[in-house]
Amino acid sequence: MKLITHNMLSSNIIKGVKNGYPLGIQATDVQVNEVDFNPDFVARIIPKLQWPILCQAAESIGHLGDLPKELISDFESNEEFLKKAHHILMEIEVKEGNLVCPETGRKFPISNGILNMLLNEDEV
Amino acid sequence: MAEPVFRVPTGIKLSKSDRKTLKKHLRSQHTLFRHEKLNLSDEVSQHIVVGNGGLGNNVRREELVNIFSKYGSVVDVLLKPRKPYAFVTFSTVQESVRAFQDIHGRTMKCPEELSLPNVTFYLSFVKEVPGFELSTSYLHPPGLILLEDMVSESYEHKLLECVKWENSEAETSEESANSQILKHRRVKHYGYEFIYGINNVDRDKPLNEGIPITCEELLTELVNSHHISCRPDQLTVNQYLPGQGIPPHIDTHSAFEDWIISLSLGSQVIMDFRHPDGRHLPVLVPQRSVLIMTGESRYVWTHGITPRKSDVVPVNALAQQQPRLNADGDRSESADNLADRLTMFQRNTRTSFTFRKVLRGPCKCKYPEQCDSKQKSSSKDVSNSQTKENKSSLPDTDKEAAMLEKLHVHEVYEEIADHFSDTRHKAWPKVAEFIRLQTPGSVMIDAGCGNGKYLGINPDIYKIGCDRSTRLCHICKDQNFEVLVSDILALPYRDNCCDVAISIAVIHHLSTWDRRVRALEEIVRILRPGGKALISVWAFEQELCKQKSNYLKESRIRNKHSQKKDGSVNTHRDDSLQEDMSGSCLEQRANSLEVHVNRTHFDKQDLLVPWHKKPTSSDEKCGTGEEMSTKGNHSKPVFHRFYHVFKDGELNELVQHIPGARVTEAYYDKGNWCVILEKVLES
Repeated sequence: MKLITHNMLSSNIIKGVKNGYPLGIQATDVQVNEVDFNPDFVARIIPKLQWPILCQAAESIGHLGDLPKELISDFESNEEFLKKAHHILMEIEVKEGNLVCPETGRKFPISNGILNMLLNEDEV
Repeated sequence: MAEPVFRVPTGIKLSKSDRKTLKKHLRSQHTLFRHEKLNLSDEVSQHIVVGNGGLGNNVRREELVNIFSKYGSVVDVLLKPRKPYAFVTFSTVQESVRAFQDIHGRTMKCPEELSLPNVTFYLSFVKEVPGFELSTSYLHPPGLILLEDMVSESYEHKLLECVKWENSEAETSEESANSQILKHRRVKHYGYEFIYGINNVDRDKPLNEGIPITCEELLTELVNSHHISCRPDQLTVNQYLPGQGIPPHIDTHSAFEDWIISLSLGSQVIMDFRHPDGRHLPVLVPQRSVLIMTGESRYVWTHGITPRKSDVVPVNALAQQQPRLNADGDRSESADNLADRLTMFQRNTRTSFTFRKVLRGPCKCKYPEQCDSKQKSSSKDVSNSQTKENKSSLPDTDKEAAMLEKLHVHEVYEEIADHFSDTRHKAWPKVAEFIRLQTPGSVMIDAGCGNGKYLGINPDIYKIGCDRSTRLCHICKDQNFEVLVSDILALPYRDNCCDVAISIAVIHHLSTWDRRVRALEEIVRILRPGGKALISVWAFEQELCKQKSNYLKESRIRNKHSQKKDGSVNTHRDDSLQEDMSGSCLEQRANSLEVHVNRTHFDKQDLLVPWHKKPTSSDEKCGTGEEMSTKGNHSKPVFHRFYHVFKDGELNELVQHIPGARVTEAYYDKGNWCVILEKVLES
């Protein structure tokens, strides 16, 4: 699971959960894989993200690096910034661990890089 | 005691009246023989058949019990609906003989013995009472709640008083009058007028007269006891004279909430409930009772009152409310004997108060076949065919639906994942085109991504795939696609998070209308305002404008192949139904849903489609139909997947039920119906 995906996820599908956002990350295996850098793509993706949540998630698994927690104003043209963002968004992957619902503590397992968000009958 | 006193007096000189009696007696014996295939006994017995003493000529059970109890202990009385005779059983032969001597050929006294004048009973002995099939049961349709004695006699009186029927002469001139005399009954509306022409109410035109204050006591009690969730705002009062009724009907789904309350005053009555599959349950609605129709009984079963003056009911249905007429010690019948016995009661004037809550917005029931909200304009033939064909095969509850999908969708895909993936390399061109057209930097979610054949298109957008099948997700992951396991009814994404969504060949696996709507609601929820989604489903119509879909065409090509290859004629056809049935791994629902014959036209919308699993990779070339299953082989296992195939217009209609979504494009693509929908911008 990439951190960009994590930025979109919510556990509001659980009965009684209001926002379910953001999900906590408990990672036991984090891998870094090189992905081709596409500055235009990253610049266009950033406005669609909850930036503070991304930084918080990266920090929680120890991969924030020196990425500023506040989104800089000229991010679209700042290639160095975009590269760092690209690294966090696209190259870091949680292979094993859990995502945790912030309201109920319900854990969703990540195994072989695949998150399982299926609910039990009584949770729907 | 003397030997048989009675013998059919043949060969003896007869008086004129005796001869008449004999003639009639023989006729009644003939009737009995015709109806019951029963020969009458020449010998006396405990059992007497009473000609002219049945429900068919309006003789009531209680009257028979009273008449015959004078001669001894009546063990049993059997009446049958519409038959002009009854069976009476005494505990001893002597008693039955006594009764015979006194009653046979005698005109019963009116009104002391019978309420009807000029009825002559003709009796015969029978060796045994014929077997009896219960035609009237006291089962209720699902969702029907009957609350007896809900109002006191004095309250009943007050309620009847509060209805001010307009003078019938003034009726024609006073257009504003809310009461009218219909063909079969008198009707008055409060709150809103129920307009019979459109079978609905005009929500914008509430009546001046609201529900009478007298009703408050009852309504408060019903709300407090949680029988209804809110207070009704519409009341229709119907008054039926004996002999009047109301045709079978379902209250228009979209007109009212999911419950309907009927208070019965003045007289009990039999209300007939009928299921589209032919089941018929007559329900005895007692005086001063409240009937609440919910669920299936409100949405699927019709209810009506047959216009007649009397009703036939099981004895103990009445016995619960009335002291038994023959309850005089040892002469009464035992309760066991009464269990399946029928009797009759005369109707009096009955006044019913029907309380309903006017519905705002479309009906949200789970019964599209009967629902006016779900069958508008274009798909009239859809609804018709659904009503006829698919009723009994579909799950009734959401739980059942989930179970059906677990067995016939989720578990099957988990099993066939590898083979399935091998047959699905090529993206459908129109779907691929849609994805390529998205602006760079878009976020796309593929709900039901399968083996991920659409996750590799357009490198300038970010794609997340999700699928219910873990194994299919692994197949995606092996190709380095971002994917997670989730259910389409619970997409684990925050609201408004994506620019684009696709759901290709997925929602046809959901087994109820309600679940298909919920899936679309989920997709719309995660789309940002202005975002678009492409939805495709398998089409019922596999041949449009004389053009066969690839799904149908495949069978011809395949059959040719198998002939060339092995020289035999189609021994390996994959459309052998026998093979499907015997090889199925998951049979639980198969007997109620039809198993489709592969590569043929659909004749039902809800069906099981066989998948012939191949142990090794196939050489299958892929086309654009949803179904591209592989060539058959007798040894390979067969799995049944549930499908609801969509008819023309059905997918559009589904989208129309999603708040905040509108169809921007709809098309047919080689055996599939497709729509592009847009989440409307918030105003």
